[in-house]
Amino acid sequence: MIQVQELTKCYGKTKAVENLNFVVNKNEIVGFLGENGAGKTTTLNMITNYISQSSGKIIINGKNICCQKPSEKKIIGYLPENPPLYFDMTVQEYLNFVCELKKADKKSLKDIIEKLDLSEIKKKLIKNISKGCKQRVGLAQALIGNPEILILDEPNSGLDPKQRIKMRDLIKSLKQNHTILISSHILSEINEIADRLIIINKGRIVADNTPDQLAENLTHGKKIIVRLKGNPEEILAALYENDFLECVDYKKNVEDGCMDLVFKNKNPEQKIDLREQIFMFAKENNFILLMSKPFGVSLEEIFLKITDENQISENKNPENQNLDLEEEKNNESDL
Amino acid sequence: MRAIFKKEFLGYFRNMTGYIFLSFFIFVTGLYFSVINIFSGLLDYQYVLSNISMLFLIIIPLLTMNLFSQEKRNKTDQLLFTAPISISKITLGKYFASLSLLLIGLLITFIFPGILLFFVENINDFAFGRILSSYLGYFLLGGCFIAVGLFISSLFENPIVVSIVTFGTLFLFYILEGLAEKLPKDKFSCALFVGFLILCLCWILYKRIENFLFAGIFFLVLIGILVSLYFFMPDIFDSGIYKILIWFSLLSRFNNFSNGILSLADVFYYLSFIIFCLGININMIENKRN
Repeated sequence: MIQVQELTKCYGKTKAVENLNFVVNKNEIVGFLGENGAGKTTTLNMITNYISQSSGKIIINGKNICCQKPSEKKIIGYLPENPPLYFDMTVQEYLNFVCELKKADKKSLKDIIEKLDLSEIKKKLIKNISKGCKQRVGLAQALIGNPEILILDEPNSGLDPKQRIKMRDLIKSLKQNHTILISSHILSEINEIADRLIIINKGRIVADNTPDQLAENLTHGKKIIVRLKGNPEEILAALYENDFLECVDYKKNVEDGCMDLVFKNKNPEQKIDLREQIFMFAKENNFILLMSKPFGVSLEEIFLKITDENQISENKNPENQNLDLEEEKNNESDL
Repeated sequence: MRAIFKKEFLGYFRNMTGYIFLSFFIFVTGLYFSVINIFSGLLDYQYVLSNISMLFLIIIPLLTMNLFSQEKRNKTDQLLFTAPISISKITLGKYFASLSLLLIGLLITFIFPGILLFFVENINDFAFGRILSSYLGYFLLGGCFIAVGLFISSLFENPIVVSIVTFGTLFLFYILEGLAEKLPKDKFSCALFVGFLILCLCWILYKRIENFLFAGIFFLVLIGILVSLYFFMPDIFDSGIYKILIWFSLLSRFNNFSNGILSLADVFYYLSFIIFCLGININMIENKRN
């Protein structure tokens, strides 16, 4: 378990990281997000004891890392942003060296090599392998010694889609025996892997929650997007008379004679099943329900909204889930 | 430490540095051996070692330029400093790897005094003691210079800069004796020189403990002692700068070894110098991480 308390790092008068407080529980995967220069790598470097903090505490399994003996660093495996590789060594030589450095059992090396598909390249010089392979070798060194805590800084960078899926599955499988703090710019990847997200902006934590909860906080409750076949005017008129559904957004003519609408509960105090009400609404008014799905906010949007309040995405996803109400209202002033 | 030692030592032979160093070292030693011993017909092999001490100006930057600088440049220091190993062990591993390469070079050159043995009519004429003492002196001097190079390597990221600064620093060691003779020998200049050293010492102390009052009091006490000595025992300041610089000179002590004088004080000085350099190296790395 990692506990970060009031963590601050100053470079001269500049505060790279200020008063960070968070916890990463045992066997939890926590995504660490932030813009470039937000202080992610500085925080990870402090947790791994690569650099020291200006103030605050980092407690790992109940022990402050300031009082950590060098041998106790075994507990953490670290994959930095640029994998720390020696280009004049072969992959096998490098992993053997890390094994000796960490005083780890060399027998486990075979499993790691197999797990990360390094068998074919193990005799190649590191300088001659691809970027994706270098990333995998970097992850292999972090896994050597079976550390309880893994700190991964951009583990997916440079990997092709196939390798990314493998890496994602591998990280997920590591959850059983490891506590993982992972930073990534590929937000869809981190959304798949992480149990919880910590978003950092200008050295401060601006959000710490599960991806679903963050989305819900941003959208202020659950919403459902539906596609109805029928006359748009009739649909909108029928909506005025409905006691349960509130249309927060809509878009006409997405298909011939169809419109998309985003519904939410009109009275949040009243607990109803939105899906049921939507079905009843369509049935009672003889509209054909073509599609119905939860209206979610993508991780990219969460990230952008939280890190930059002024920057709100215009097109939230390719399926036009996000509909511009203002624009539509200007065009449809007759309603 | 073993892992670091092995990595660094084998690293010399992965990137040709080891081969270049050994071939160059043996070639130059052989050249001097041919000129001094073979063509001139001298049996004194220690002259070869005295003459090739200048070789350190080239080989030490070659051996030490990548030790820490490349780790920083390639960000591999992140692996080392987050691994379950102390910085002192990392530093020692690197130091001993360089020292071992120098030792191998020296051991190979034992072949030259071996050749001389074939030409000796009376074995008692052959100065084994002076040769061994020269070798020990050469090895210790090399050890000191490697410690200096290693320290400089931890200061910069660019190996070229490291090698230039190392060359410059070692060159200063070589000209120190000549420089000392040119400096003023009067008592007042010496007192000023010592005063400057005290100021530097107290500044370092202040930077370390960040307590201006304590460093200031320490400075005043030392200056008080200096002034008292200047007025009550002025003779100790006579040619003081020269004496201080000569005492600290690494080369002047090496001459003792070459002359067959094996002094424990010289051995102790060299070892202290190495420990001091490695110590400030470790300290510097620790400080940079803060």
